[in-house]
Amino acid sequence: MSAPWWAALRPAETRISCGPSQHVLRWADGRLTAADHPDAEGELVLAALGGGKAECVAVIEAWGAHRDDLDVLALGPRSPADELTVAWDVVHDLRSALTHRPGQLAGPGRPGWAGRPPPARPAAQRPRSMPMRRLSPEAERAQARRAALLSLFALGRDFQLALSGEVAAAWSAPGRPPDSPAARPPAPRDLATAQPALTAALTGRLAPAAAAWLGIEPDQVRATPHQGAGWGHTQRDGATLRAALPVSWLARVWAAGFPVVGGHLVVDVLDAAWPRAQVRGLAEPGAEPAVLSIHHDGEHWTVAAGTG
Amino acid sequence: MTADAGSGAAETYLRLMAEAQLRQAPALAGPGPYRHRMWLAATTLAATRAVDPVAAWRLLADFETAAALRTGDIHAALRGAHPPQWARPTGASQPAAASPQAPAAVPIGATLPLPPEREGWYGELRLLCLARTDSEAVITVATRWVGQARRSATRRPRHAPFHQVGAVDDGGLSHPGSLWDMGIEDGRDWWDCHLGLTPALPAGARWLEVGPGAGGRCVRVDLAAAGAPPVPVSVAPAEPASAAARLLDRAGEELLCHGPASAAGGLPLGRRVALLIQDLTGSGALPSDAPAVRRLAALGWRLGLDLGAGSYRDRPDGRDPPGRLPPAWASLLIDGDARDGPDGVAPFAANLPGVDGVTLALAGLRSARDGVTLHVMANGWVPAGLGWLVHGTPPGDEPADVSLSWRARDSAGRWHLVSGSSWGSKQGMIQLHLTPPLHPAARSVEVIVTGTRHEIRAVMPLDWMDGAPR
Repeated sequence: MSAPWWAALRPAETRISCGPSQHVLRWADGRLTAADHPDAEGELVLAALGGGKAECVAVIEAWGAHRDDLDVLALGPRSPADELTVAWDVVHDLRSALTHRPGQLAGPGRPGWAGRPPPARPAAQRPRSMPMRRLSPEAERAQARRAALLSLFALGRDFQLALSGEVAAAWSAPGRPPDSPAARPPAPRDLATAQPALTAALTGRLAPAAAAWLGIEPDQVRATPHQGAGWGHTQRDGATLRAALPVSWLARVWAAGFPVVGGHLVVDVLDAAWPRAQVRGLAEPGAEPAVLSIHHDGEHWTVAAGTG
Repeated sequence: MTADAGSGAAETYLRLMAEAQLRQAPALAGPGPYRHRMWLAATTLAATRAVDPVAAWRLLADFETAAALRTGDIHAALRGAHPPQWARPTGASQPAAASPQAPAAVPIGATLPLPPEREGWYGELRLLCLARTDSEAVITVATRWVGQARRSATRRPRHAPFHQVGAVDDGGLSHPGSLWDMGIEDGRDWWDCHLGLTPALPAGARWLEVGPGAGGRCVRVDLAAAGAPPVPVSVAPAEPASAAARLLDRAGEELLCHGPASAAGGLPLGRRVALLIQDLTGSGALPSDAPAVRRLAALGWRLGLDLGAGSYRDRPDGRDPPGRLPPAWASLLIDGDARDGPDGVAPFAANLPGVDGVTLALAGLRSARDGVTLHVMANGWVPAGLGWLVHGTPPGDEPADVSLSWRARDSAGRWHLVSGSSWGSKQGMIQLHLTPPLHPAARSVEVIVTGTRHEIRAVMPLDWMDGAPR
């Protein structure tokens, strides 16, 4: 696996209100950048010293804080059909309900989030009122953290997938050099503690893909994180699919949007540069993976002619 | 399996359940006990400490937020910031801290007639026992309407008799009283409650006068309880049982007390118990062939329930499946529907030795045709998951406290289980509702409290106030 984990992910871009202006946020090559804030890190230092914090910089800070947050995988999307409804005005209300302190969460004054959210479903409801119960400082911090995460989801689906990929990459097998400049390998103890969350994250994302691949019920998918060498293994056991895949599969394959292409379950990425990738895929459980060249046609990943 | 590994397996079970539930796009219906499958599983595993309660709550909050993000109802996104009491580090479902002094009770066994109230109806307070710690003092009470002082077509009030009474100790210190835990206005024949006295009694107090009642009458309470025969109390090692096994035993008791068709948290109780078994065995908290599972399977077989624990699969020929029923369960299968209990009030008192850091005093009971109300003062324990203040409240939405198990057996051989409780007063008073009723021929009742290491048995005499019961 030579390509960095994010090589096959589509770059994402959106606009948000930052002060009186509309600024562009862009995620590409494994990192989030604000084009209008070339020294975002310097602005963060100034904010920590009591200065104001621009919205773009606050988002970058929140992104960094959640880059290895397993809650991202617990809350985030599982499949293309799994859409999150995070309306921008809801995020705004959530953040307003919190006690704002200088340099915390949204910066001084009223948050200026007005970027176009992903299309909200008609049924989406705004909170009519936020809970007014007094929170402990710990609970307040937790709520602020949750609101910050929801604000990242509100950036749109491509950002949701990118953030999920970053988290998965951060929790991939320790010891390997991290692909992303920001990623850091988790400590062994943390990795053991995180196994239930990683198992669920893997199962929750493999299940819908495998159901489509094999025509089985998603509940029949049993996935575990693969921690040895190689891509792992799969086995059909009656109606059940048992699979062991590395957590990095979530970052390199699932987040890129090609868990199943051309009737193959993609298990590994050999090389990639959006919108093309060379992958290894299984025609059926237990089979040897075949090398496939795939490309994104603007809507879907498909197998390029002459491969497979 | 190490504790960490076990906890990891149980957490994985919960998280995979959340994934399966999310695929079904749950619409969370809002407040209510066991509002969704995850809630039941999380509280079950938290009750048995298979998953740390704080971690279980975080999982629940994440699940509800995830569901909210998919339905547009974002209210749930903030639930995690308001953990319930059981999910706080010092939650009520964890053993409450015991104060240095154990509760102590002395019997009273006197009646305080009350003056007439509305339309001439007058009542009485049956004073059972005085129970106290260094900071609290209460008198356990059974109260009722007795009659009407003048002719009137007015029907008996539906609320309990109420008359402001208090106490004065031998040092002349006044202790105004407040009646607690009267329950709802439902026109019943008797109300079980307790009279809280403030301030607590001085350490050296020898007697109290409680009143005034009708015509200024008072009842004198001898705090030394001289002449009261000692209550036989024994302590023996308890049979080791995990918290998961105790929870299943509690489930069996609920089935016997309420019946499989009764509703619990929006589910028929039989269905809910089957899910409990599924969660405890599926998470690895209990092996599927554990004695507690087999006991419950045997009970299910007797009740005609498939609890998903092999009760039918084991014996397709219809014979009894393996798994011996405890004597109390077998007794309830026979007498569970009895409605032949004596009507009476027994003002016994017993101070029990500590069990698992909990100290208890038994402070009398009232027997009725359909069951028994046993008064307990507890220090360091509340019966979480067994109701809250209102008689008959079904199992709630919080993890059940399984640290103590209560049973009773009367002298006629009939067993009694706890069908509900009423608790929550600041004085630590608890009413345990026992079913079925006492046998008409019973002359004493043995109360059995089982902790994780010890079992306490106290044989309480049924010396009825005002002579033989009706």
